[in-house]
Amino acid sequence: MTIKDNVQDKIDPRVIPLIFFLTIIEFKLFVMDRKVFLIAGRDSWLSALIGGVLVTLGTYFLLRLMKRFPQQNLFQYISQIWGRPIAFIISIGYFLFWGSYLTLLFNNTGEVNQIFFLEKTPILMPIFLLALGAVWLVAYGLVAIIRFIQIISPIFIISLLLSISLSLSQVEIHNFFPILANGITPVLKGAILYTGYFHGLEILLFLSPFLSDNTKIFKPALAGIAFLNFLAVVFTILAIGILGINNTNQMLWPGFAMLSLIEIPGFPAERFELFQTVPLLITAFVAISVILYLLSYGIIQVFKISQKKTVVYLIGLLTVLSTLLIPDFAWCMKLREVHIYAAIIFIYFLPLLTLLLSVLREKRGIIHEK
Amino acid sequence: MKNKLIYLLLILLAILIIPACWDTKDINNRAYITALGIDEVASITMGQENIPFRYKVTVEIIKPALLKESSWKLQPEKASSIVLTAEGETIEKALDLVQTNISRPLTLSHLQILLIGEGIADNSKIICNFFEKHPEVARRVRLGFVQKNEAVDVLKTEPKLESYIAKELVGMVEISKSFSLSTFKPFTSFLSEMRTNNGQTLGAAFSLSNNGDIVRIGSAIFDDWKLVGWLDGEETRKASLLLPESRKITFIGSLNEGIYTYKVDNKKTKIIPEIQNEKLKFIVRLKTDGIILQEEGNELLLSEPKNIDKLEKFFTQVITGDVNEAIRKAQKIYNVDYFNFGMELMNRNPDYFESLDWKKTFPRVPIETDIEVKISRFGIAK
Repeated sequence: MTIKDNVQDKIDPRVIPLIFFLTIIEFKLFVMDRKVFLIAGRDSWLSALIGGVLVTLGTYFLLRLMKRFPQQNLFQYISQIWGRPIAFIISIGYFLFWGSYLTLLFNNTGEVNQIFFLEKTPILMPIFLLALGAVWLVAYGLVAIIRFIQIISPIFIISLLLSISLSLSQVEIHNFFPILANGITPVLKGAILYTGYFHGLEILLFLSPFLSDNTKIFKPALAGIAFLNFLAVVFTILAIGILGINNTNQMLWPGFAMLSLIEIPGFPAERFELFQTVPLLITAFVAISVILYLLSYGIIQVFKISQKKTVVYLIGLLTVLSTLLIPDFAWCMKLREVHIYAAIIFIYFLPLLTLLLSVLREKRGIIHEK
Repeated sequence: MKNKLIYLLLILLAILIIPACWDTKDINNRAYITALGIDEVASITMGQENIPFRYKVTVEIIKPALLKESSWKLQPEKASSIVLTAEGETIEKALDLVQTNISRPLTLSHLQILLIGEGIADNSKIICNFFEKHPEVARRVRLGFVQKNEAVDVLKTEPKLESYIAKELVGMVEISKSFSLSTFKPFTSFLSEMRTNNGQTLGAAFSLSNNGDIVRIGSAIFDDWKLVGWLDGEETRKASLLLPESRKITFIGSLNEGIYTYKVDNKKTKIIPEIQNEKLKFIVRLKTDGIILQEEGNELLLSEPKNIDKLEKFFTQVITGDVNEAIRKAQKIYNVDYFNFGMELMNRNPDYFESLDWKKTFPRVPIETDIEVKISRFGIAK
């Protein structure tokens, strides 16, 4: 069974911003762009701003590619554009990219859980439970995942906006000065790196067959990614403005540190930041589900495997077990940093090349009559 | 359908019981540390080994069940918290020893205030690093330094209005933010300033009066992460004129045989670096607005504008004197830039700042003042 050309339950394109929010944010709410902070320092907000423009531009090209092949997904049309052997290599590249990312996501979830909540519980246990839920959801296909996103997103969005509004008053303007003290080069380097934090954006290339109206996708997708970038800029500003760049660079989770500064007089629970556990789990779960979907259904499609559920379960199990290959948390952090570069290749570079080649070779998607 | 139901129940059961096997965390069954004090202990020899430096860690642990009772009873029969002390080569080791005294697992998740004794304040960097790293500690924890006495002495003091000492200390810190006799920097701001300003800043001071009461007065001065001195209440009052926070500051001055009290309730301080002919100088621009609260001796008719002008000019002189004195203290006595003149220069002209050896430059750099005093009110009587 493959990703269907036509499915009964169609998705309204207006859901795309929600898909972006919950798929892309995952741990970035807490980790934020750590590497960008190290490179661009207190000018990281400028990197996020410029990087945001680059991400929006990248999204536009993904949409152009999607529009060119409105009823197919990436794996269906790359063989037409690149030829079968190269397309196969690209597909394997994507599988490795998603597989490694999924492993890192599982590991990150386990590590965060162990550090903040359940220090004695073996790291595999929460990962296994999370994977069990994700596998179950993924087995029902992308539509089920998107419906889940639609139901769960209000909890995430409300708590996110609440955190932002409660943190705003603590921003100290002097933390942003001097601006551009080290020139524009670190800012630009940071901006390029920033684009690599948008793992999950590539889901756009697999959405076409599921959308009710492919012609109306540009507006919500671009608005969604622009708003997500706006939130990223706001979080970057909050981190620098509240913690100061030197403190931010010391933190593994600047976002968590930032939230633990919030104090609400009269609030019954003192540890407000722990309320953010729920959105953290939601986004981690959604990101895991989406990547697991892309990986397992991609493999099903490329290798033409009929046992859909078996593959999903097997991939889930293998990625959970592969977390054992990561020796410790320091390695997990290091690998996540390296993965940013892989993301730039697989999210922007390869789709952009595919688009260019499809234009040059005048390739277009097959449109089925409804 | 039946299989699915069994599957769902199995998952729910797994979620409920599996994590709890390892990590049961019943909030009723934990020992919440609300205040923690760290002092220095002299070196000891344990067997063959000489341990040159040790921490004395004092913790206040609340008894949640008694808090409600203590909050409305003026003299509750039982104290709502206990204070325990232990010594160790590291803070964690000392906490392990504290754990041996109580029946519930210790947690720092509700730590509200951290006090560092004068004797160990030079090790603030190491101490802060422990609390910054600790996953249970919230960043909102307040940080204070105990002058002359030990942190344990402050933590063992009976609270006057609150049911436990951490609450009393937090209350004192919060109220002091509006007044000028003491300074306060949140844990994160303290670290941020130390990291940006070569370990130079002011820290919150706590001390004990002769009759054993806790006093929040003065400031601890840090240079290169080491405690180099203290500002008393009067010095802190003068210094607060140059600090960015808006606080209530009281000035007293005598004019024409009358003594007047001017309370500043709104101020704006701006430190402006200027480089002319390769020579650096700073201008401190200060604008104050406040109220005349007390008159003694020769009383002026304050509803007369010319009298207000006269007082404004007079208090401009008084405040200029205080600002100059505060600057002199920082530049000449301590050689510590706790007013962040260097940071202001770096913000505006980073290249020039980098070309200087700021530590050597600061004590000699000319600082001018431009002070504007406004008396907008004089109470409800002439």
